[in-house]
Amino acid sequence: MAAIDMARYFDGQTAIPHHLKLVAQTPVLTGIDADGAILLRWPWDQISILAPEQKGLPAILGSTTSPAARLHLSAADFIAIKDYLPQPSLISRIHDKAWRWAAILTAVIALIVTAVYMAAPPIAVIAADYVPERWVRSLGLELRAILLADHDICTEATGIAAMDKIIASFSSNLDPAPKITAMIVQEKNVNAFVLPGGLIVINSGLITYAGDADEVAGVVAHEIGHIIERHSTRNLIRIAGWSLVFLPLFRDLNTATLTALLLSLNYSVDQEREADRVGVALILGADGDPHGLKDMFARILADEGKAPEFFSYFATHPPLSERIAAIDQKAQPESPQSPLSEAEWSALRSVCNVTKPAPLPSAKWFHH
Amino acid sequence: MSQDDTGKIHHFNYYGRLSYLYAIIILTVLISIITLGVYIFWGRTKLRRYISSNFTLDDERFEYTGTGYELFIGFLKIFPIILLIFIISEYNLLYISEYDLLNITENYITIIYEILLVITLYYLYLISVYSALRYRLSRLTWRGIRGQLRGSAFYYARLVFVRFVLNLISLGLVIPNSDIKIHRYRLNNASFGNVACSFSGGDPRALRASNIKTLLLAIPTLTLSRFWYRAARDRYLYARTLIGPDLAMRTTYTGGNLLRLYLVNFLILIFTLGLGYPIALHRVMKFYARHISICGTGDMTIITQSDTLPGGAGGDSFNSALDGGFI
Repeated sequence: MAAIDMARYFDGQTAIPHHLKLVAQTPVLTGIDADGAILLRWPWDQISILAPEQKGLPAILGSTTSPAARLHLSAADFIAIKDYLPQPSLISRIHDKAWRWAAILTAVIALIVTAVYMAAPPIAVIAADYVPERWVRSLGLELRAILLADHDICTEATGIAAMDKIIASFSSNLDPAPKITAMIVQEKNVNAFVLPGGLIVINSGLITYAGDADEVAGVVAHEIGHIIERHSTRNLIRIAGWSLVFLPLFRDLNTATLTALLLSLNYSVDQEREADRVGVALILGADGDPHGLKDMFARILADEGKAPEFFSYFATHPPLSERIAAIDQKAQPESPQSPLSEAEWSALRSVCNVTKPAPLPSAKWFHH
Repeated sequence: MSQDDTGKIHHFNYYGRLSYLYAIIILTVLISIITLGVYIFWGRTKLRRYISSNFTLDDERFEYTGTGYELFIGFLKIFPIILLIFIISEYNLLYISEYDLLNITENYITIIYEILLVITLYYLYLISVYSALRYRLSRLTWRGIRGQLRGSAFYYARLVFVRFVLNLISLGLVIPNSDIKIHRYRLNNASFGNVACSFSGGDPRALRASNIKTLLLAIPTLTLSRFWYRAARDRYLYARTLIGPDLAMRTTYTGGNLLRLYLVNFLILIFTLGLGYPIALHRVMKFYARHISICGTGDMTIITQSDTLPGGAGGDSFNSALDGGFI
């Protein structure tokens, strides 16, 4: 049993403090005023610590017996009755040892994030094969329409036929042959990219920049490499998964997605290497000359120079010098064949003599 | 009652420790990650309890009696509204093709839609502000006596919105009128136990000069002049804020004090990339505890508990969802 001579009690009905003598014994805490009246009779299992003692401020206890009433105890008095009090809640106990739990949780979260980071590529590879092709193609078509909304596409018939011939020279050797659709955009930047569903977009600037049909064919083979390996679909699955993981941390989908995108940069470089490798294999399979792709890289390298190594993580492609060296290591065919005749090459370079606006997105209900 | 009839001065104090704030916030973030965000309600409650219990008036601790469970249930109740707001703001409903009855092509229709959307969101936000204030006051106790805020959140939202429009139309000239009207509505509906608060002021002329100076200096000072108006406004409003018939509030901070507080906090947040949030929070608490007091001849022991029962936490959860604040 413990006795406390002077504790301050507020009955929850008025702001008047009552000075009580407390008697602590099992099973109740009893509070008696100066006149001997029992003002407080709280079973221990119904008492909770509403505010712990600190820095000279009294501890505040409450009870479900009288929900609004409060008992204020000095540090010494609190220690006198502490052993009678029920165990604090799990959350309170965790917060009492906050820094230790913070260290443990940080380690656990770091392990989870690392596991997700390591598991994402194989999971994305497996999951990509199970996403229905028509879903992927629908998404790709919508994305293409959104990206090209303010652009004109090049439609000169013989030029389009030349491009289709290049694509057919690679895809006809594949079993099953993927459905590949190329669109040439009137855009002076030297670029080409792939969208989900076998869609290739080639800027007219790339065709103008290329020295010959082998260079264009090399780029097209590289993009078909992305399609064969389903890189776009894998990336979408991986970034979506990571965004969900980071969403509770940032509580903002845009920030979570941006973080996921930054993390995926390293995978982008590996995918570019893979597309190079598959593209070169496609070119060799079509009896073509992989030097075309190498010549394109060499021309870009000469024109734009190299980025400092410090920024290499943030690059989405491997260094051009590395890509050139990788192609050089491949066996060269004895008599490579150009994918296009001179006339077809000339037609391809004139493909933008006829243009029309790019098709609009069909689902206009995306706000942004 | 004027500021000169001081009687006894009742001081606030803040005893919170920065290390504890960091511990609570860091732990809340980490556990929230593990629980996919569910724990945030309990973490927010923990933070409010810590801050409240380290605020004292006449060395008597305040207490926050809200629970994480209340906030969580409140959030579940208003989640359909949050989801609807998210869908409406993220997807342009006018363009769902199979229901494209209006065959929308003109930009002005979209502009009107966007304006109506912003107005609706702002109105809902104002409702949530008043509802959150009502919840938090009802969970704040001192000597076991809890606070209370009556009135209508819808009326408050309408009042603030109309005053906002008038402020814009008048190029800021009627800001003192607006501030007084809004403060009066809040105060006249607030009480502590059975002691009602009231606002005894009403003449905006006292703030007119300060407001005009602020507006004229807004551009040269990059709007920093507003801190001086804010200090003058708070001094005026608080001095006429009565708690019962014989107690009034008092502020002692100047525009310079406010500028220093918020500017330093801003720099702390910028240079720590947000990790200095607990430092900024700690500084704000210490600042207001130092500069606000209650004075008068009233006897605080006569306060008794109100009979009105406290309401639910839906408004508070709604407000937290809209402004994303930690507290």
